[in-house]
Amino acid sequence: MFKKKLIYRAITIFLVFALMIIIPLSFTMLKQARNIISGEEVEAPHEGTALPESREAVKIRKEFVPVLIDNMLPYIFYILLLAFLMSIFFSRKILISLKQLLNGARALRDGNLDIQLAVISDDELGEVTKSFNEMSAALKKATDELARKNRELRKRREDENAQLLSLSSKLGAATDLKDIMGDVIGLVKDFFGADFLWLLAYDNEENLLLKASTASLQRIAQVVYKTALISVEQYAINEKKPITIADMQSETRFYLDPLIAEKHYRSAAVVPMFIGKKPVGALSLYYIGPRIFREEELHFLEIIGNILAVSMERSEFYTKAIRAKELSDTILQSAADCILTVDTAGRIISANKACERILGVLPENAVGVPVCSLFQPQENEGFSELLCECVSIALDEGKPEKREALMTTAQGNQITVLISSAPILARNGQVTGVVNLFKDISMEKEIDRMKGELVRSVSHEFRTPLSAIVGMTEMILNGDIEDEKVTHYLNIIKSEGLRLSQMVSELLSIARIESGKKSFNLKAIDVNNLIRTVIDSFAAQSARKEADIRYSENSFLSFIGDEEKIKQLLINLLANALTFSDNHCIIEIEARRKQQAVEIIISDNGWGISQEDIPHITERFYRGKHGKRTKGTGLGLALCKEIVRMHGGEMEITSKEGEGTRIFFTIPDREKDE
Amino acid sequence: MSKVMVVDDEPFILMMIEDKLKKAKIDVVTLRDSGKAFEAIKKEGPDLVILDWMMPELSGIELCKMIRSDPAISHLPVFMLTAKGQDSDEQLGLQCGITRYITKPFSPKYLLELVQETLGNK
Repeated sequence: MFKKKLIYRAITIFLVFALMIIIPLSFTMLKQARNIISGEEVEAPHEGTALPESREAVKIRKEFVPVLIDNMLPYIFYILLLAFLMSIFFSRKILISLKQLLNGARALRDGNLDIQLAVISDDELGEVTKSFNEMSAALKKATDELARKNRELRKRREDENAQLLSLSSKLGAATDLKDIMGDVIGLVKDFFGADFLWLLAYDNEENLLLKASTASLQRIAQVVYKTALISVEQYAINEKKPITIADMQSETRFYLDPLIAEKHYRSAAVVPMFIGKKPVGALSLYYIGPRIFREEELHFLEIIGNILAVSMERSEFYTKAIRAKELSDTILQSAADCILTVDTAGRIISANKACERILGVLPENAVGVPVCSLFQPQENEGFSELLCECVSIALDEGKPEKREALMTTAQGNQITVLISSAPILARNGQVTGVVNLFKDISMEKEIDRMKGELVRSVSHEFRTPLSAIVGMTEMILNGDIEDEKVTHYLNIIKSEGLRLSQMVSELLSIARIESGKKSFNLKAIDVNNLIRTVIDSFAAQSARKEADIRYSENSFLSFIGDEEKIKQLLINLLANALTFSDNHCIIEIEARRKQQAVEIIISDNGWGISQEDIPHITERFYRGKHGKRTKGTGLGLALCKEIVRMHGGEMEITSKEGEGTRIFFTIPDREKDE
Repeated sequence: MSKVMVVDDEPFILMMIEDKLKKAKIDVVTLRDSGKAFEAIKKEGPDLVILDWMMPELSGIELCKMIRSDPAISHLPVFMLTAKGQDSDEQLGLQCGITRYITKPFSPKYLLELVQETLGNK
């Protein structure tokens, strides 16, 4: 094709040149012909003299030349036409190329970078077209490169956004950072392509503790860098800006934790974490290979660091708040007293477990119930009324109120409850609710009652012997008593005085045992020895009554106890048996092992105790009222019971009036130094 | 001679009162068993009765109520000689128609004075 064009072009050039030769040649030829015809034209220039023109020559000149010119003209015209057409042909080719270039330029302007123009000629225009095409291709390449870079940038932004979103949603959703910290720092590590990442945070003494790391380290919450050490992290915090290290091996400014030093990390980036202006720690990325950080990457890392800082602080607050709440809940729920809070409308906000026991109100059912309607109508009306009063005073007057109220529990027990209502005050002093405390003071009331009872009993029991002492002394002094009777009176005074004295000491013994102040003097007691000693001490009394005290020895029986107390116990029981029996009575003492205890039984065939008296017989000052005689202080058996109780044992009395009494008591085994 | 009946489960109290009153020429009948006291009072017809409060069979208060509700003897002055020293106890006693409430320990001389006063007024 190209060759063909070359040939055509050669032929064209040839023709043009040919024409350029032919036309002057034709004129020359014509001139020659004319000269030949005239015969003068040839010689004349040689001779230098003008010859006179012949007639033929004149004739040729006058007839032949016009004919020749006439014959030559069409050719001349043809040649001129051909030259004209040739010029048009050439100029058209130039125009096409120019137009193509113009269209190409417009296409470029319109953004069509794919345009490639056809190279029509291999001349300068062809070269221009080629250059245009090259330029267009280069432009496209540059534009593509730009677009690719744009795409990359956009993708990175999108990745960053996704990363931030992912972090934020993870951090936002988690209340306890511990659970998700691993995930979060894993994400950061992957995003930045780091080999190791850790997060250090300040403790109260500004030591840097390990909060999280991408390696499973056992050092979580332990100190990594002490306050005084200048680590990269500390440096970044001090500088308040991200720090990058390109070559850690040549970096000697910083102290490195052995873990970091051992791994021979090459490069690192550390961003300090701040909450407002308060530094809280640092986030560090370590790389085994080289890593150059772009400005925007560090900025992004900084943002992540700060998000983590805020999340950490929030999580800490949350954890503290949860712990505080748990603690207060535990305290509330563990409280022995019922604690019930109500709002300003008097509706229950919360109730603890004790409320179920004291008020019979299930905490979960109570919430929202008006406190004045806590009980069914006609149920504990008085109590309800007093409670309402207390709540009203606390709510309306903003001051605490207390009332004691009787109420009947769901089990039908009558209890005394102390209601204490106190207003819950907001910071501005406004009452926002009432906290009510319900304390079952039945026990305290009972103790008070018992104390009063004891005082009354003591004073009552003291009055009778005192009557003998005071009254009889007065009569003796007044001379009311005949001489022979004075001794009798004095004996009564003495024995009643002794009775009083015994009462006092027995009361004190009971009080000491009850208060636990009197320490135990524990030692191993040989049962045979003990019982023999006690029986021997009753020799005179038993002889007077001609009583038969029997005891069959049980070898190797012993227990750990307070010998003096046990002796007193046996003496009291034996004395009772003798006192409340007729002459010739039989008293039997038996000792045996019963499971993990030693059991001692004292039985007599005396008067017995009436069935009405048995349940009360061990009460203080209770003296059998239905039996034959009332004797003693009424404290002996009460004391016996206390002694057995302090040894951890039990005492039981069985008796039948007229047949006798049987008293059992056990002393459980124990270690001597227990 | 006036006759006083004393009911108390404590023998030495009975002995003291008997000795004191008899010396003042007052006839004394003593009784330890309160269960038999009401019948004895009706039988003996004393001018004054001295009762202990706390007695196994029948309390002094119950006995007093019985005396007050029996028209034949309801007019009898009744002394309560008791170890119950609370004000509330005294109130309860007086409400039941007790003439004199005397708490133990007591002065036999004072008791005699009260007895003489009551019997004299009568």
